Amino acid sequence: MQTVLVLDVQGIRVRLRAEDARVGRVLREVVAYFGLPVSEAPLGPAQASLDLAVWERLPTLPPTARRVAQYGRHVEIWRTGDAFVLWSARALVEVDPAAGRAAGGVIMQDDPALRSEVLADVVLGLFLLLRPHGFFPLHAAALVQRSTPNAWAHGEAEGVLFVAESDSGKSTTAYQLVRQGWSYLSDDSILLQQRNATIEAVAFRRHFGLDPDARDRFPEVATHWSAQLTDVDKRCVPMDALYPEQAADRCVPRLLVFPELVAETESRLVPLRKSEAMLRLVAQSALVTLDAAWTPAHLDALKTLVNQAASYRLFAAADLLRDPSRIVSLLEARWPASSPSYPPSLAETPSPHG
Amino acid sequence: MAEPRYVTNPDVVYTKLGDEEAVLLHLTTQHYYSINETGVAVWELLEEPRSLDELATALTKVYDVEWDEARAFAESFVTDLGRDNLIRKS
Repeated sequence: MQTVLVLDVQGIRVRLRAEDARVGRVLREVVAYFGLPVSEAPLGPAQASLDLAVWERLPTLPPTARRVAQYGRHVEIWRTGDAFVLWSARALVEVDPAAGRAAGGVIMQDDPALRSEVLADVVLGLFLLLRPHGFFPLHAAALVQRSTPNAWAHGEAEGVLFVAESDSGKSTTAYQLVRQGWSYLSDDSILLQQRNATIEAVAFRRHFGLDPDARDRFPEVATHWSAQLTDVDKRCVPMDALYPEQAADRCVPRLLVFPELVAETESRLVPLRKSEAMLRLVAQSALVTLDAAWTPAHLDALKTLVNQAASYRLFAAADLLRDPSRIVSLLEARWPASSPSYPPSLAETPSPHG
Repeated sequence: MAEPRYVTNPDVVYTKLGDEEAVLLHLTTQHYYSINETGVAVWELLEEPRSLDELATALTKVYDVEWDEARAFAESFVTDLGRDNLIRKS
């Protein structure tokens, strides 16, 4: 039986379809992982599509194909003509971003690794399909501080991005902020979109991934969490079950924080030059060098982000775990007082929350 | 023999951040670099093929520096850029 799911990414509808029921079940698990709106009936024409079939074996790549990148542990990205091929041990998906279409197949096996491979293909496929619509991926946590006077200025939420490699404390810090009333877009993966000369962060993957020992500090998570598809060492926390009222769709980042764990007693934020912030953003930007035709636009988005936000290194010490309010006070002390990128006509409009 | 001229590598994407710094992203090696204000000045000069002597002369018009010092700086910086294939001989 055919499975059709329509994923709504900020108004862009992506139709995911599996001809085989077994692949359909995997697709449902994968889509649930995002925590984004999903419907089973098309609400209108889809702007992009991804179709998966069951194959006996993976086809061989044409001799002209060239390997351009590795994504995570599972997927190699190959280029053939204008299309990309996402190739792993049990799945292969060809993505044609210009046509808004991705299609491929999987070798069905009762193996948890299959889900991880399909997930990686879907994530990468979405990144490639959404790029022509002006969305660029960034490996970052994104949160919104509701009570800060400027947070909802001009009707737009202002936010903070935590940008760093995995295992740098992003998720734990983000979860602590949510517990203290902050709204969340993601703990790990967002999209950037330019609107009105400003870069906005857009929710892409809502569910958090926490270490198993997080239950010691956050007991509520253990009744909800499940295995994390992307990382066997982490647990997936469904945020829509725990904090449904605090989900945010998008925000205008005003703080860029680059955390690193340190063996010190007191955490601190240290200002970062724009070029240093830019390099750190590039390092956490999947696809930025994948396709020269898109690199300038992707870098322009990062440049705008660096120019509209204040950037800091966060030396994250043990005090952040002992005292959850510590991260709030650190961030609030550095929260920009004004919104420099707004045009004067808008900036003079009184904030409904200011 | 004519002095070699150097020009930026078209595989490098240059992103300027304000007037004082920029980021270079090499699409082939996927390495990225930051350069300061002086580096920005030299990089923009190298968008057209130039010799070290021409670079030095151009730098003396922008900065308060003797020609020999500017030439030495240009040679050192161009050597660094060339080592990572960020520029090439034209």
